[in-house]
Amino acid sequence: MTLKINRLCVSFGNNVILNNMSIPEIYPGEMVSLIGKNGAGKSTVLKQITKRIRLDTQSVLFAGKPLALDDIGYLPQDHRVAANITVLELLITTMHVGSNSLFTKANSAEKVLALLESIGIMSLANKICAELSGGESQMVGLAQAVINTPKVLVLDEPTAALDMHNQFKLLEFVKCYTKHNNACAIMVMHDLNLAIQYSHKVAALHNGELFAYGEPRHIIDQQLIQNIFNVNSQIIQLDDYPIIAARL
Amino acid sequence: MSDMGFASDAIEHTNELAQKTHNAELSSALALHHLRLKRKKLALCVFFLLSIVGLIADILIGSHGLTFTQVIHGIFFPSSSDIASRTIIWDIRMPMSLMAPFVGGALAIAGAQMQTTLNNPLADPYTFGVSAAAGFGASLVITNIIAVPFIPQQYQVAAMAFVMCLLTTFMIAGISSIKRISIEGVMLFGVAIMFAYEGLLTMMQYIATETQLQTLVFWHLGSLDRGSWDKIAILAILLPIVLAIMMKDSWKLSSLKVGIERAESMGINVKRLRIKTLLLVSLITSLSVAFVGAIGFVGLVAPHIARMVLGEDQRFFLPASFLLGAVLLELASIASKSIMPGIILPLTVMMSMVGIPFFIFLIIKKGGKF
Repeated sequence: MTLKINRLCVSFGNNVILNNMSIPEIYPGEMVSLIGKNGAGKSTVLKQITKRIRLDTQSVLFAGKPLALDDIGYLPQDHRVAANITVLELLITTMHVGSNSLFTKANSAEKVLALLESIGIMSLANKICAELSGGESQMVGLAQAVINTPKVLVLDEPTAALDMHNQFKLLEFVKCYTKHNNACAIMVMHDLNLAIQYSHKVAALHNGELFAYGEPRHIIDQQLIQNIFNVNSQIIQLDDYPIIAARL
Repeated sequence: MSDMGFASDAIEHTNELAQKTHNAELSSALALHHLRLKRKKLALCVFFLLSIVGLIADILIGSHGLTFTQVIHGIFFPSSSDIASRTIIWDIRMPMSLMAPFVGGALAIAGAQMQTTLNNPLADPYTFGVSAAAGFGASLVITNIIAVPFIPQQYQVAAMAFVMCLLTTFMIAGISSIKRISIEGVMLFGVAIMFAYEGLLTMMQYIATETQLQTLVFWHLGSLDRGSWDKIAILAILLPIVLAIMMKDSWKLSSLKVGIERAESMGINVKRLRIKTLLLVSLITSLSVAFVGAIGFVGLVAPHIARMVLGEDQRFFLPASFLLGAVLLELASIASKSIMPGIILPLTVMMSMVGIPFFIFLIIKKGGKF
């Protein structure tokens, strides 16, 4: 049940975004962070995974077969839902997307509430989506991504709109989710320290190609940061964790 | 030891309290959700009742002063009422009044689905020029420029209106599926289409003969007195089918609100859903417009009220839009007969009086951001 990304090629006109990019197999329970500077092609990789029709059917494989959309839980960068619909209703809708019946499945509200509780946002259940703050809708977006218990989580900058508390809350939930459901998560991360703390593997992208791949503690060093971000940095070891700080 | 016992008792008590608070929170969230559901169902019932009351009131009001009992008697026991009231009720008032809920409902769900699939709160068959297109199509037949082959004479106008409607809706769908064109761009495109058709229509009026001109102007004004039992029958058969197809997709349509990219990642074929829905929209719009003429703003106002009252769960939003559209047009019909006794004012005028202020209100409320 591994996820394999093979030879992704994306270009707009003469502008090559992804150049034959592959990522080694991602195993169940693994969290993989894509890092790289803006325009490196990170979000494009995620979009290729979540695309309904892929030009090359062999480009994204899950358990040896082309990855089906039913197996994906996607949290995009732009996740705001500007609609007069409550969080509970939104999630019930997502639960029933494939259904042709007007009636909800038994206990769907209870199931949604249980999920909201495990993410720690039960208080949002009856709030209107259009009135949520950026951080709140990010957490709701996560709930929406996992409501149908997908095997592959695709998260585009999941912590971007969140305060420190919610950043950890979200990533802890993803960690728990991947572990308990034997799912894998692939996410775009800008915060390298969070990426180190929460990923089993890091894929560093540079100019549309995979620059480095491996365990974060092994591959993220001053040289890599210099190469892909063009930033002079310092790495401090704290309780066995490397902490990255920019050196100005 | 006793201290320890006290401490563990206290911890247990706290845990128990936490559990109770948690259960209370869970059940109150659930109760609130069920209350919302109940309220929505109640609102649907109220809208349904309103549409029935509106329909009866519409039949009751007319230039010929029939009393309430005469009308009710005439509706339910036509064979025992006198010929004059029977003719007035069954041949004049009922076909007219029954057109209102069908056409109003059809235009409202057309507007609702244009707003949903094009993700644009100002979309409506009228504002996007779809009604104008139907008008232009009708004018081509009225001025004898074009005849649709294999279609009987009495349905020529409706057929051409339908064809133009279809073409226009697909042009709009095509434009809105081009990624780099924003929602505002699609809106402007709709406005451009409307002006183009209005211009073409003016040209048709210019080249039309006097009789044709009269028919054209009259057609364009929109009036329920073009209602007839066969038109009602067509709408009564088609509308439930269209509504049922749309309702079947209601989970998918509700999910479009999360954004196209995400909806696609959920396995929804957005393009196919959009084309399918817009095809249904053009079918009911063109029939309505072909039958009673261009009536604006029902498709804009009714869905917005439905959205405000019931939210965007399409399972409720769609039937509510339909019922509110019916009520609105019934009210417009009543108003058109009552403002100047003896004269039936054009429905377009009546709807514009409600619709335009509402349109402006929406723009101000949303600050031009969609």
